[in-house]
Amino acid sequence: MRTLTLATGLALAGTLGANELTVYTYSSFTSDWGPGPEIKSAFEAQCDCTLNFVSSDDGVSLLNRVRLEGVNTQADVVLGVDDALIEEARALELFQPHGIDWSDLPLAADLAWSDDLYVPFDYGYFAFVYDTENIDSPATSMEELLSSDVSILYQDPRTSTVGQGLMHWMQALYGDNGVTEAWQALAERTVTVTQGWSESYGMFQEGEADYVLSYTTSPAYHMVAEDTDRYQAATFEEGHVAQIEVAAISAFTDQAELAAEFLDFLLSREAQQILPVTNWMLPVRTDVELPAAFDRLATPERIGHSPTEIHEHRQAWIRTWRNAVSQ
Amino acid sequence: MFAGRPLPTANRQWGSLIWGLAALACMLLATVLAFLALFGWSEGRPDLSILHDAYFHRILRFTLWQALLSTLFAVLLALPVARAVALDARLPGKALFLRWALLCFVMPSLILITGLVSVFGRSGWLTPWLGAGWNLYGLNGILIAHVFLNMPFALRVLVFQWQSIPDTAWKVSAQLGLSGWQRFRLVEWPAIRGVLPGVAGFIFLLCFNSFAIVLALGGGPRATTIEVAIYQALKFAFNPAEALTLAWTQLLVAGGLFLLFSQFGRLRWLAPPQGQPWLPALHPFTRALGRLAYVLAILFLAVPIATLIPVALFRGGQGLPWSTLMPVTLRSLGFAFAAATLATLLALGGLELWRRWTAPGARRWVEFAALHHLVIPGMVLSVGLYLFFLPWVNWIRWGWVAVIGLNALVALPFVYHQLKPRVFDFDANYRRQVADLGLRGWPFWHRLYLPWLLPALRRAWALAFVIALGDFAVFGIFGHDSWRTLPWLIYALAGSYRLQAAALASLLLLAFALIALWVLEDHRHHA
Amino acid sequence: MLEARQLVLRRGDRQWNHDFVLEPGRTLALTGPSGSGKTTLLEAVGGFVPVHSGELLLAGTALTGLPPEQRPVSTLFQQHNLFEHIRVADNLKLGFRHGRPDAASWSQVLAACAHLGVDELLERYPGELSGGQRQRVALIRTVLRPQVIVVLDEPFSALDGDNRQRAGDWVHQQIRDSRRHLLFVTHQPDDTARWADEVLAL
Repeated sequence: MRTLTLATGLALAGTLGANELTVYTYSSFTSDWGPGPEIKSAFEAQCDCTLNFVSSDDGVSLLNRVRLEGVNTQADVVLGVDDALIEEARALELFQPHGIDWSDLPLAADLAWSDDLYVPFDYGYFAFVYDTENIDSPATSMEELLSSDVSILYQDPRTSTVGQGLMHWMQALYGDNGVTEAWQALAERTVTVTQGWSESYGMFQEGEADYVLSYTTSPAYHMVAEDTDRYQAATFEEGHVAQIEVAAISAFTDQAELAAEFLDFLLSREAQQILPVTNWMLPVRTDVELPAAFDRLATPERIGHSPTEIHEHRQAWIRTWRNAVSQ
Repeated sequence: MFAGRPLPTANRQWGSLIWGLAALACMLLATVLAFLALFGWSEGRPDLSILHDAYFHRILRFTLWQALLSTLFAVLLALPVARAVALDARLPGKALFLRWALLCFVMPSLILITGLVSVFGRSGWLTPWLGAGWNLYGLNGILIAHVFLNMPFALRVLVFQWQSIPDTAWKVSAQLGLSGWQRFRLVEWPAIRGVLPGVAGFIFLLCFNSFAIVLALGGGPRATTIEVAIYQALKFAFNPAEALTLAWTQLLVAGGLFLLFSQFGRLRWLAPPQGQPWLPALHPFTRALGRLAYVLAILFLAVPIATLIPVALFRGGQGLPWSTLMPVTLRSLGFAFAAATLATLLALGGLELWRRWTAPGARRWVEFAALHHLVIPGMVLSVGLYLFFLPWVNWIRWGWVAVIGLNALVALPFVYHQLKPRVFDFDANYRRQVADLGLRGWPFWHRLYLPWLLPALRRAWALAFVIALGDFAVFGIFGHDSWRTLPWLIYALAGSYRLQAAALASLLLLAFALIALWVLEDHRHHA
Repeated sequence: MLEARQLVLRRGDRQWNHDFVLEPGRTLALTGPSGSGKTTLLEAVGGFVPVHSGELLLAGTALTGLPPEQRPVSTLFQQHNLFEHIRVADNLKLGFRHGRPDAASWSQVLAACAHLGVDELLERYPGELSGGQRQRVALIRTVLRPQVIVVLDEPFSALDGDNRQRAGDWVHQQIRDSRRHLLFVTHQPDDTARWADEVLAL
């Protein structure tokens, strides 16, 4: 019986008091080196509440979790779903409107944001990162990358929002007709397909591959935190797909006001100042001062499908990928 | 003619009947509900379109192919080693070797995976000597792991077969002056030929149902089995319809294979090796070859596990996730403890009915209820129950109940199998004595029956504990990363290349498995 | 008073009829060649063999409908009387309610053990005892159980000379003093002569 009590205790851990805000997010957000700790103390300093993070492995499993829990979810806010998944979540009616007036905010023009459910808190462009000590002349296009003799790490589009980003990128570049061939060309250069971003990035830093799928902003981390220019992102002339990370208020929360307050906070200059140097993505506000390293990052052209198109085709695209790379 | 008055049935207690019926209901209900889900009774119907998908054909083909290769290697490699162990009288350390082989067979997969990654992985210490093209991930890794887990099983069965060749057969063949090859063909081959199909079939089935090994060492969509595809369909893509179709495929193929292989009779693999009978003289060349095979087998079965010790202790205890490890370990132990206890209670309940219902038909039903979980893949049962209750149950919160319950059901056939002969002996010897003494209820259990069952109970419980402790598949469906168990923590650590931490966690898991198996083995030796 | 009234027993195609009356405190010896139905009669008294017709009555009350657990019968079987996995002392205790004899009963058991020469064996397991020792331990438990009918199937088969004499006398006296009923099977005419008040030759 003690075991059962213990297990029940574990299951119930995270039950909430009145003035607590529970935020579901992905695990690297809440890690010691991620934005979680700073965001928490900054928000708690102004809200007279307790902010609790509950983490899932990745943006994809985050959405699955909220979907599974349905009405019973503990989440007041879900943070870390990306723009590729927002239409799927909208169709499931998991979130409620945030009531933010976009016209007052100096948002980055690239985003062109006016959504009533989702609040973008940072964004970035997917890119292949390379080690300058291994690669002298990096690929300047996807075409060049796929035809060169290099080794590549990327993530499973079913489990990782980064891998999913590559899927949309490939679809945008090659379309339904050419994408299978492109996937197969990539498969020949692939070391392994990992489930999450951190596995592949760790492997890349251990020297297991020449390129790893990540973000144009990843080199900023190495420049700022490690003071090295060793790792750089390859800029492709065809353009890059962007990832916009969003937060939203759960449709089933009883803390809607506090949740809305938190979303406002995410858009504040204070939070926007924290995110780039902890989550290593670009701020959504234009009036944020960034470390000098950010000025040296690639500024690619944005391409890609709209969230609605992605929602329509996502399952089919996953099948295409699965078929192509399992050969 | 006036029939004799029926013998009044023993007025045994309602308690044991209710217990037995409850156990029977648990055993059958889980299967029935899972099947209802498979028929599309609740969340989603099977999506048959995937049957025309090239991806589906490819994974089915790969599942069968890797199982076939694994089986071939496991059996072929076991043959020379088993022959040496059985026939070479002066081979040292045989008893210990056979015990280790038994442990290898029930070794939690994640321990092995960490060990293999440490030896053969990208930064493994043996990798630099394996040539430039070496890659553990994919078919290579799957085969090595499957051979590690299953070769010891084949080995034990074959050793037993070779040892069961009677002295007289050896003596006669010596008198007739048969050559080594003739003797093998006329004396040894007939003895082992009979068990080979059964052994191979069983190993094939285990490899066909393999989950953890393939998920961890498959290295991506190129090397995926149906079990892994079921998991991915549900947990990655949240596509219940596809998961159901795959589960059906898994169930039909596995069930068909089992029916096929069960034609080949029973295997006596847990039987203890016998003493040293009269053994034939071996040709010096084959003896040397056998010894070489023996040494290689010891290295193969010991090195991946022994490697964990230096890897885990390489940098001392610093930088290790002790704060994560502690709660995860406690949780794993708690789950395994509860599952093993539940499995034991279910088996005892089933056996109460078995004792009470002496009609052969009724007994067959009890046996079926207790043993059928051996054939139904754990993944199929898990997916079925997961989807059945999905509309009403928040699995992230209540998944632990299913993890305990399903692991108990997975372990149940082994527990039942261990306990039944003991129960049978008790009734055969003492049934009348117990009735005459009028012993019932608590005094009966406490003073007589439990002490009688104790050695078997300890063994069965330990086996169930180790099986549940190593569980990967059930947790894969019901678990969540916010309450990981030790195998899943190892998986996450190894996945993010924190090998030292993974090795340490693996050693912990191994230590608990060893403690359970060795402490609970009966050490008393009275008549 | 134990009474068999037109009792008919069957096993396979064989049939036996019994009619006898046994007063309290008296001993009935069953004799006869193998297969003559001695054991079957004992088992019917214990409730292990169904009664075809007729009645078994104890003080006028029918025993025939009762399951073995509820019959006031204590039986010594030919084998498997002792549980091999528990100690001799625990085996003896199992003869009493809930396996916990009261102090008086237990001192009676200990006295009997001393009398029959098995008092040194209480902490051993049955497997460590000789055949004669096992038989005496089982005999003590069977006879000292507080049941009105005691049934012994070849109780002295493993005993010789002094031990046999001593055990037989002890059983006979116990039954007489406590005014209970004893049925026992034997092949030895000496046993019958010494201890039987009545003989049923089958």
